[in-house]
Amino acid sequence: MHTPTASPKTDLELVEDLQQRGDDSAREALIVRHSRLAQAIARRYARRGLAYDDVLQSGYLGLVLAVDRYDPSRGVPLERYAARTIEGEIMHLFRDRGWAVRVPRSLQELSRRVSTTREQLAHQLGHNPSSEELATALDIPSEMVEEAIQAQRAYRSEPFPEPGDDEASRMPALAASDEPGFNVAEDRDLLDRLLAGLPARERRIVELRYYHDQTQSEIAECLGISQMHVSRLLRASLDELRMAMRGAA
Amino acid sequence: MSSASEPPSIGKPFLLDERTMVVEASGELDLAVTPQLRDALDEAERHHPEVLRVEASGVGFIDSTALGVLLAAAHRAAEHGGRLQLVCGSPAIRRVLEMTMIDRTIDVLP
Repeated sequence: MHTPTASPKTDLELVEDLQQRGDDSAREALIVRHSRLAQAIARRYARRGLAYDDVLQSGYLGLVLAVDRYDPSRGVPLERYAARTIEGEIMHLFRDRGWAVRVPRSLQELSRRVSTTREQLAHQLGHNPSSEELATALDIPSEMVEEAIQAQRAYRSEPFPEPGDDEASRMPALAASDEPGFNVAEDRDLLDRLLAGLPARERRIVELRYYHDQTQSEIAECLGISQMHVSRLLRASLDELRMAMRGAA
Repeated sequence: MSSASEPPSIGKPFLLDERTMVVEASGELDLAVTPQLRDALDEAERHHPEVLRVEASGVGFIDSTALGVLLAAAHRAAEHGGRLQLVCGSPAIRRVLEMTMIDRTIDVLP
């Protein structure tokens, strides 16, 4: 007679083992248990032009993220939370491979100037220049430097870098046009869903800035708050969106 | 998470030899150190090394965010014909890297 085996632990028990006791095997058990979910979602997205293995790798990363971050007190089952983070990571991959979020042209250009100047200054100064140092060198307010840096981080790859451009030459050859079936419009609704996770005012600010190309001052006036406040909210929102894109909504 | 007591730290990237940049990491790589990790990798990448090595022998836990940062760095390295190596002593981390197929993109060294 073999000893009676305990029934397998529930997701909640495993999450507790992981988060309370740092039990690595619980982490692995959860990853294994839900790996089919990642595979299913990856299959759905792989038809849009990226290799299944690449998409699946991102999906798995999203799964690990869910396992690491899952908060049972929110009352959402792990599986549902994981579906969201898996999708988020996959979306992040698409974005990295050339999926374009519309960033105002002027901001794109500023971002490039900022990164070029940053490299030059780093050389001259022997350390990474602060926002203030960059602002002085570029003769623009430091909020604009911040915004350019934020935009660059949130939307790391721009769709069509110009040849010969310093920044562009370091960019990968983007394969957007080599990807039949790749549909920007389809992925726009993923972004919309992420935007929907922001508080109403922040969402409005991001939309006004990036979809309607309004300046921070115009937005400030429209919402009846200061430009500095808009700048802060925009920065926080982009951080938030970036996190959500990485799955940690 | 054997190294829970060790405070996390990310070293300044240094040149090991003409083709290898090294970033040393210790403690647990979680959300709190991700910005430093990202900055260190960014700095190392500016030298466009053939091999970017993250020395994490003593690291007992790598959080998903840090994994994402490593993976992104590995993808960028590959775009320039380079590789990202992760020196990792923890069997648990190595298993996670295998399960998630991250070990196909990152060279995991014992």
